[in-house]
Amino acid sequence: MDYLNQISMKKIYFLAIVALFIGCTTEEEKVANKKVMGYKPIYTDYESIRKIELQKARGLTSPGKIYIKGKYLYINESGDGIHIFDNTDKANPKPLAFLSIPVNKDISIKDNILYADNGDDLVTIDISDVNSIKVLKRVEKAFPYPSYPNERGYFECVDPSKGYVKSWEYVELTNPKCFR
Amino acid sequence: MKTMKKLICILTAVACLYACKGDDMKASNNPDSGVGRGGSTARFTIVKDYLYIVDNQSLKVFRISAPDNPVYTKRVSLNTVVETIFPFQDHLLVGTQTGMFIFSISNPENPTRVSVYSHVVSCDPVVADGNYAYVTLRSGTNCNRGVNVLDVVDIKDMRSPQLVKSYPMQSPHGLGVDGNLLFVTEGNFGLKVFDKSNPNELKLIKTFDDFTAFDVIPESNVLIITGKQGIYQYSYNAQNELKLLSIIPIKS
Repeated sequence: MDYLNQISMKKIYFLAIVALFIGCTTEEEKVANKKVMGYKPIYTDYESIRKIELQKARGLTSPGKIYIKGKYLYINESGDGIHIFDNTDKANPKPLAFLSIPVNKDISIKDNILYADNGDDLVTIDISDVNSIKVLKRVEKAFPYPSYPNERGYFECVDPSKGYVKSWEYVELTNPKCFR
Repeated sequence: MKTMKKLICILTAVACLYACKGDDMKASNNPDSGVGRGGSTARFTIVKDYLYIVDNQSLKVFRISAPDNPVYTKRVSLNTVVETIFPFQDHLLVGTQTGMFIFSISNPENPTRVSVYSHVVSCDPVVADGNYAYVTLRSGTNCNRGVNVLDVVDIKDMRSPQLVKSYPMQSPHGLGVDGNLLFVTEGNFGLKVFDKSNPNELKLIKTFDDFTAFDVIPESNVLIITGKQGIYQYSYNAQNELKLLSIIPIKS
């Protein structure tokens, strides 16, 4: 009796699973060409985001965090790098250079060494000579890969083989598979 | 749900007390020579030979005694969205969307959680001086419903942070303290300057609402503010006077 019961239970389970599958397929077909607004990852290849260099001072466009050490004022340019100012005279800060660190948001400095995030890597940079910086070390994959946007809603699932997600674009997506 | 939350709180508190029983709570007054300073929204901080970084949901530790070879030594999972980190004595105050976590770094390589000051889900940088931590909570798109307040929290006993008083704010983004002054950046609502000599009764000294202010670093009588229009530097003094020194403009 028990045995029979078990079999019929198994059958029911099986049918339930099949039903579930059918249900899912229909659901998927229904939304096959569903267009919704959502976030699309913009990729950059690792080679280009890992290029760190000193450039001529330039104007601020989208400043992020600030950091001070000694006479220097460091201003992050959202996602691009760091403006370095000589801030000896606070009434007249002098732009010295732009340290290009792609996808950078945060820094910290001890002695003459600057620690920065560079995509999902951590880099240490010797800045003792503001005219000639030197990347000392790169710790790859020190930070999580950006697998979802900050904002909630639909988004196109990421594909790390396409590179690093530099930003997200809010666009119309066709049947996005990811949501948060 | 409420009882559940209470229960979790009590359990956490008990667990913390247990964990901290043997902790040496003495504050180290050694200045971290050679280390610079960030604003209240920083996610990187250096204490002695260690770099502490908060990313989405965790606190990471790197040993940097050899700067050309930082060594990743520890990851502490936090299970909430982590926003900011502030070093204070031999502790780290970590601002998350659910509260302020206090870690002891008396063993610098292995931060241990001492306590949590919980609050509603919100965006919240934190700074501290003396016996008090100042936590701002802001509502916003990424912070769910949230509220806009400044909480003054007594952290004399790091194991048991106590709310002293909550002050209503408009849109607090960042904050900084120096001497008796507390500066709160209020986004589109500008900057507020408080006299914090009595944490039970903060006194609003001045409001600057003619610019947008995001974060702030007060140091040696100069206030550096990041805003929508540029980077502002103000001098301030014991008489609570602020004077604009310069603006690094944003290229339009």
